[in-house]
Amino acid sequence: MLAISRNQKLLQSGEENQVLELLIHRDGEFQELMKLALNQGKIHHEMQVLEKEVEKRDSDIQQLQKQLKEAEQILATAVYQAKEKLKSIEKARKGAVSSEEIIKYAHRISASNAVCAPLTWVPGDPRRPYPTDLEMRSGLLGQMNNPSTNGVNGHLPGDALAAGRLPDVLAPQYPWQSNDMAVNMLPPNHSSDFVLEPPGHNKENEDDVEVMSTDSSSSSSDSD
Amino acid sequence: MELSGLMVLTPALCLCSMDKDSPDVHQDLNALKTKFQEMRKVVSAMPGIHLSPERQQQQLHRLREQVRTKNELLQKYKSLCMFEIPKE
Repeated sequence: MLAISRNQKLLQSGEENQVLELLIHRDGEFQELMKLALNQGKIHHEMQVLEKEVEKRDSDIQQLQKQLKEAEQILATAVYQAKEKLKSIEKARKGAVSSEEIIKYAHRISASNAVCAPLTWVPGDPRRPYPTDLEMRSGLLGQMNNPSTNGVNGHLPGDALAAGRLPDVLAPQYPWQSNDMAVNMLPPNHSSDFVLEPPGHNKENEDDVEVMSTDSSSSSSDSD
Repeated sequence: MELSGLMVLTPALCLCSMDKDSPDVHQDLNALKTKFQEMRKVVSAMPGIHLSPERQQQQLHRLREQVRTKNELLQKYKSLCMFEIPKE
């Protein structure tokens, strides 16, 4: 009995030793794992710092991308406008006109008082920047359409011009028509060929003309 | 470390193991269980242990590479002057 109990005690102490050894071994493993866990914790902290830096770089890259996009739009607009200007320059070069011709045309346009009223123009003056009825009728087309008004004794206004006399159509018909105005109605080369008698002034006619010129229903009158 | 408590408890356990029915053994066992539970909580809250060390190293390397590449890109475009600004 005593021998059995001694054996049992020996077995128990053996098991306890094994358990203790296992425990010690496990404790050692735990210590190693704890060191590893602490190390991983430090690495994790470093990774968090790197992730923040990556986020900051991403926002910088996005900002740069926006600026590059704006610059691209501005440059595209500038290039397009430059190309359009080059096209218009090329077009102008192909259709080049000499400056002398342009100045001649400018003189012709301005000679008809189309861009600026003459210095002597006053309200009531029948002169207009466009051909009036009188001027059209006294022209070639008017003479062609109205053969009955061709000069005196069947002579055409051209004959009257050649003879050095004003055609009846251009003769002063209204009191306010002066010799200068009648002469101005002629082509420039005939304006100095005539000496006219000043027409008689009629005050009644002047009033009528003033009324006519200021009448809003008149088609040719245009208040300036 | 809290796990070092294991080493303190182990000899106590051994001493009490002589009499398994003694109340001190039960107390020590309960204390040990509590310590284990606390240890589990602390370990689960530790940062960086959800990945294996190898995966963690790979991710760290990838992050460092990202930062380096993005720094180079930004440096390249900020230092690049495509237009010569004429001096007026």
